[in-house]
Amino acid sequence: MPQTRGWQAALAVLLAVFAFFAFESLRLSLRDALGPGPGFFPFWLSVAGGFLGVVLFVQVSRGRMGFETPTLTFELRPVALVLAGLVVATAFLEAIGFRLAMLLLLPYLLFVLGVRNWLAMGLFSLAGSFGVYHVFSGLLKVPLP
Amino acid sequence: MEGLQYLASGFASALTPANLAFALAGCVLGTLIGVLPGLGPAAGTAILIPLTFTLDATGAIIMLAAIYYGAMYGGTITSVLINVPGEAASVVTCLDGYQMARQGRAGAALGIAAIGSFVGGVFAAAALVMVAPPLARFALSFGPPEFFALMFLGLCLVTGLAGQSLAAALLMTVLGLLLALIGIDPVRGAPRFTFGIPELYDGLGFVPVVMGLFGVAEILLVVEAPFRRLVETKLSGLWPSAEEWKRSGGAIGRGTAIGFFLGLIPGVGAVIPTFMAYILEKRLSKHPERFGTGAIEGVAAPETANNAYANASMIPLLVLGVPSSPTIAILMGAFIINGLTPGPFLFKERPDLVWTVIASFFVGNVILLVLNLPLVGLWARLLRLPYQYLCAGTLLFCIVGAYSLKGTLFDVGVMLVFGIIGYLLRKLGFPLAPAVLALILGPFMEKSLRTSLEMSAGDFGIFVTRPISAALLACAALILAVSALRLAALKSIRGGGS
Repeated sequence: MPQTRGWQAALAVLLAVFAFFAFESLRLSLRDALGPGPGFFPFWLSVAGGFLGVVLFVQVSRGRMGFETPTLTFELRPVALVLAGLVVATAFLEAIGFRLAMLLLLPYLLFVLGVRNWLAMGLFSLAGSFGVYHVFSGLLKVPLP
Repeated sequence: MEGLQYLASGFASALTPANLAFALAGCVLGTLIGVLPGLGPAAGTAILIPLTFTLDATGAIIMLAAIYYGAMYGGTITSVLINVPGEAASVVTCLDGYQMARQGRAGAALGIAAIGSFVGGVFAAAALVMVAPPLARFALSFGPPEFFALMFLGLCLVTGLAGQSLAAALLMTVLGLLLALIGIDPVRGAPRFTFGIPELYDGLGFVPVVMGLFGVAEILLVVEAPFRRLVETKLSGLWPSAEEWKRSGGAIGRGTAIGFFLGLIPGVGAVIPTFMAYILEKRLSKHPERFGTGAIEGVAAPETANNAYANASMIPLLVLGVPSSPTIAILMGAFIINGLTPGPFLFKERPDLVWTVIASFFVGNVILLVLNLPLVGLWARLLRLPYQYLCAGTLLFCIVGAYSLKGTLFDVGVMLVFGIIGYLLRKLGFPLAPAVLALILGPFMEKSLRTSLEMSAGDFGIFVTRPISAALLACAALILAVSALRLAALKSIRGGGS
């Protein structure tokens, strides 16, 4: 993907975010009896952000950004697989508990990243699930599910 | 003299077995973070915050500060041994450090780096003792307009020096400030941008956001393009020769001065002092052609500057409450988690804590020296750890850290969302440092701005009629103007060259 296209997409999203903040800020009061209201600072920040976003969008579209590399390269497969594992583990973290969730997540992550040493994977997963739980929950008294 | 009296009581507290243990643990963990490529000081400090939850505030800050400067040193080991910088500030050390290693002088390179780091760190900590009390007393006269102007100046410094586009850096600053405003309005108590989600009433958790932006995003970038181990070199004698000592003395002194003075300026970052120290040594050398081929001054100067910078950058945080880099912002977050607000009032209200932490900087530098000279072989062996285990372990700690903050899955979700955002923004080259600093300073800036405007019945003139505030804002405007001109000049040079 060309860098220009990536920046344009990112700036479009950011402009939408600033528009949302500006709209929501207007629903809060900009001023009240004591002075500036809860919407005052976020509203003017959103306006500034919107202005900067438009300036950047124009600069990027006119090719005035001078990117070091003209194209963006993504290796989405490992990234998506790692993220999917994290999302699923997070979703089930409280339901099945930290130890079981990590006992499943860690070998999955290692497998996705290319590890095929089953013994090392098993030992690492045990240490990362039961071991870490024992250290945090038992010794450091940090509650984990 | 006043600082020395406080420092003596600080040492009494810092040298208790518990605080010594926290400093030691922090130095070990920090060095580990620095040694492991792909995990920088910011991500490392953020994911290790949960380890300090059960500690008292003093112990927690001592440990996290030690993690920070431990990581700054740890990056040197990989730079020298495998030509892979553990963190950005160690990039320049690769130039001569790795060449020394290839010539069988890896030990001397690491030895002089440890000694230089010690000298730079101790000098900066000593200067902190001298500078902090009068500066804190002066800052006590600041009212809300001055604090707003100071924070605005801090953000402008970070923004002006970040990235290759001033507009992009400003955009990230605005985004960070807006995200910081999510939650209950601190002045009127009205919920803002919370979508009715109760977990957002307290605002976006700083730690999950930073863990996402630096920790998760970093790992996603690594799994996309795994780093490969380069040539490994053997470690031999750590003590530099007499000739190398002679060449390094001046470099250590100049590196200390550069690192210290640049550490006082928010936004400079650790990379600039290291490069400046290296370039200065090359300019001053009678044999500049040796640089890049294994000159020991090329290791001593940047490594000294790096650690002097790391310790000096605590001055704006502790004295003024202005963090100078993302890692220092994370440290500020740790202060806030422990119910403390860094700044001049902390010197007045909790001198016991402040001076114990300052004394711990001296202790930490000694620990780092003792730890790194004899144990460098052990750290080097850690480099054999395959990156897959490092990635999985880091993600595991991110989940533990985000969950244990409040015991809710919501924070883990926030971390993952910001991990994706951080990954995309870093792929595109948006600077993240301004957003992180704005995120931590946002609530303080808004409160100062609104209190100032309440004081003046809505008149913005209050910021320019008070001399300190006006001077700080003038500096901020000047910095933005200079940054814009610098970037315009760079662009025209590139345009002319192409």
